[in-house]
Amino acid sequence: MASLLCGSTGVGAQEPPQRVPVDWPQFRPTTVLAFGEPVIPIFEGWIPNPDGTITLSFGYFNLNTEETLHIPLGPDNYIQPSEFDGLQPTFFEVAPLESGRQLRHESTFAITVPGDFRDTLVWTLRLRGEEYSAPARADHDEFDMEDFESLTFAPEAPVLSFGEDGPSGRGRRGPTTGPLSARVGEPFPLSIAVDLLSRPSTTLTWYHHQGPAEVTFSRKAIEVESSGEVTTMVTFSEPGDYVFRATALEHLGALMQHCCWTNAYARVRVTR
Amino acid sequence: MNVETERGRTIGHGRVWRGLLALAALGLLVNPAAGAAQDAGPTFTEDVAPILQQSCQQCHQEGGMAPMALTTYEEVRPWTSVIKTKVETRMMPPWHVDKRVGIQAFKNDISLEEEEIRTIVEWVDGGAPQGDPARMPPPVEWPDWTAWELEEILGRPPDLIIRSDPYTINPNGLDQWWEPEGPIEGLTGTRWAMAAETKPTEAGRPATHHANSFKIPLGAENSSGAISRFVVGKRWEIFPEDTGMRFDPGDRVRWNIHYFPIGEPVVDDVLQVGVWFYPEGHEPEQQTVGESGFSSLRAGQTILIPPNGTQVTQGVHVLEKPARIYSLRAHQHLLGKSMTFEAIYPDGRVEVLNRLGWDFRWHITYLYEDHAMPLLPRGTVLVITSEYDNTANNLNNPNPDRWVVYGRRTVDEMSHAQVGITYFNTDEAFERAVAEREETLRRLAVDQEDGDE
Repeated sequence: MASLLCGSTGVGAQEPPQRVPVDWPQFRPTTVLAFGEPVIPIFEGWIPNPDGTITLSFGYFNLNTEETLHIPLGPDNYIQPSEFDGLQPTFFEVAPLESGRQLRHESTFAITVPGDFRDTLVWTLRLRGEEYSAPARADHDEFDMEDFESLTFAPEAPVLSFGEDGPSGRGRRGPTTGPLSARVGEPFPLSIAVDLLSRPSTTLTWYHHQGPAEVTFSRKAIEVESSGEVTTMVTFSEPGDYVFRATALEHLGALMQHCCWTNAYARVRVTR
Repeated sequence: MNVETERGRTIGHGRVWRGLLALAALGLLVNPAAGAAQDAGPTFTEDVAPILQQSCQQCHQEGGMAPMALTTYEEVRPWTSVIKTKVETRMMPPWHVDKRVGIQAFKNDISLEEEEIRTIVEWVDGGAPQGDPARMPPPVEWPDWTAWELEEILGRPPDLIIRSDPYTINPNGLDQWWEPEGPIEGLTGTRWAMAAETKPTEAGRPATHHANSFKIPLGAENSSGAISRFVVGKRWEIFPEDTGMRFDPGDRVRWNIHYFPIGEPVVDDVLQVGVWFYPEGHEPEQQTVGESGFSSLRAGQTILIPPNGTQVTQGVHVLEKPARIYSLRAHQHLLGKSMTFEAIYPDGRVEVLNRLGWDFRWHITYLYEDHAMPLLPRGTVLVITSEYDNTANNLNNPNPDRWVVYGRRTVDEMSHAQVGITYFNTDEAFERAVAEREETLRRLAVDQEDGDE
């Protein structure tokens, strides 16, 4: 009866139905779970710069929906060649769920290399006895990433600035400020100016990028509907050197398109 | 029943094929004189040109989307070794249905028969002789790309034409997506569509990878389904008998158009969708939302393919209503290898409907013959399994050392199926369709027996 319904024994059929007779690879589940899964370093692509240098962009995918992972810089979290080590995240936030799809963290940091750099730059994470690496080279045009604005429907990246005369920029390479000074237990203002350019709004989100301990944000995500400075407060429980990443993104579709948003980084030195 | 006639009967997607049928009917594909030439091996004019006309020249013609024309001996001669390789490996013509398993009756099957492949291979191995120029079949009269193909089939122009906002296609650089949204104008009351066709412009056609139009019902934010989906080799769909898609005043259209640069700009390109309605006041027995998206990911699953590795994902969908599937189309990116569709029936039996190989350069909609459209009872589980290959064995893979994740870029991955599906409103209607199917298959079996005698 089943075959009759599908018509596979009808005129035109050449063989009776059968299970797929192929040598399928071993099934490797890619399910995002609450705890116990790894974080995968991802090479996103590269961006040629006007001065001839090349920016390599990286992101990560924490395959846990509830487990934030902390992997300090060092033997479990490093980049080679070592001269480029140090900008990568040490805090790996969970994969949020959006529209039924687990999201990852795209283009969280970037490394600029000389234009004649021909080696492979590798970001490696070690976790729970397993090693995960993201080799990066600027030798495939397919990974040449657009930056500030898309030719088609994706939004344009806003301008992010730290103070009137401070660092300013657009795109995933982003401006960096600091180190700023803060104290344990005292709410510290993270302020950044947003220029929306021609767009109606953007969502500015702060992420804990590096640091020795957990922090608390007063507002992690801020809807920005007019250009100007926005501030969120961050509170520290431990001293040390921290890095925060702000991402200004009009809508999540831009992540899938890999265009167009702006990152910015604030370094904060925290003392007791 | 000879091969040409059978193939001609099954190929029905456009006037192109009917012109070729005429050639077959005139004996150009079964030419008594060909027997004499056969002794000396195949020649271009007598043996190969008819095959190219039937299965290749739709794209391989001057101004077509293929990189070279294959309409004359002079055009074909430099490419003979490439042609041999492509047809031997079944890379060309693009038809990726696994012939070892599942349903094989499709309206738009352009694959070559084994005998045709053998003819081309022997011709190339024999030095690719031209043969007698006088025996060259007349050139095919190709359809007017600016005309509606369905107008000839349905006997009238479309009742409604929906146009995309103009877009200028950049000549170089990255692929471009154009996703305008706007009102569907010209509706004064509820109407039911029986067919739809997407028509590119002549200038924009070579740059149009795909063009999908989705209907947004009045007051809704999300699409209720695709009005029409254009991909290379597929312009239109006619819904099954007494099956329609509802249109109401106030409905909107959202486009998803993928252009790729062709080296020269195309200014203000506009795509059109023609819609043919059932007579005013007629409400078809079955409603369809057109092609529907079915994921090949389970809930909570994502695409993550290890460097130099492979991956499999699988989506499972329970059909809450009995259904008829009239088409299948896979969608993956560079690492996609195949997509397999299986039905687990309520009684536990499992049947492979089809296994579709995948090549990112082709987004083929496979249109089942009427008598082969799967009829699936309520409670059937549709299992969609995707394979990915991130190794160097995959010649489309630009960087096997990279972890590959879900994303919209070509170098990231996606995996979902577009299934042309119609749901029956009642089990009784489904049972009637099953009974009609049984009768159709019995009749076709008798016809085949008669033909074999």
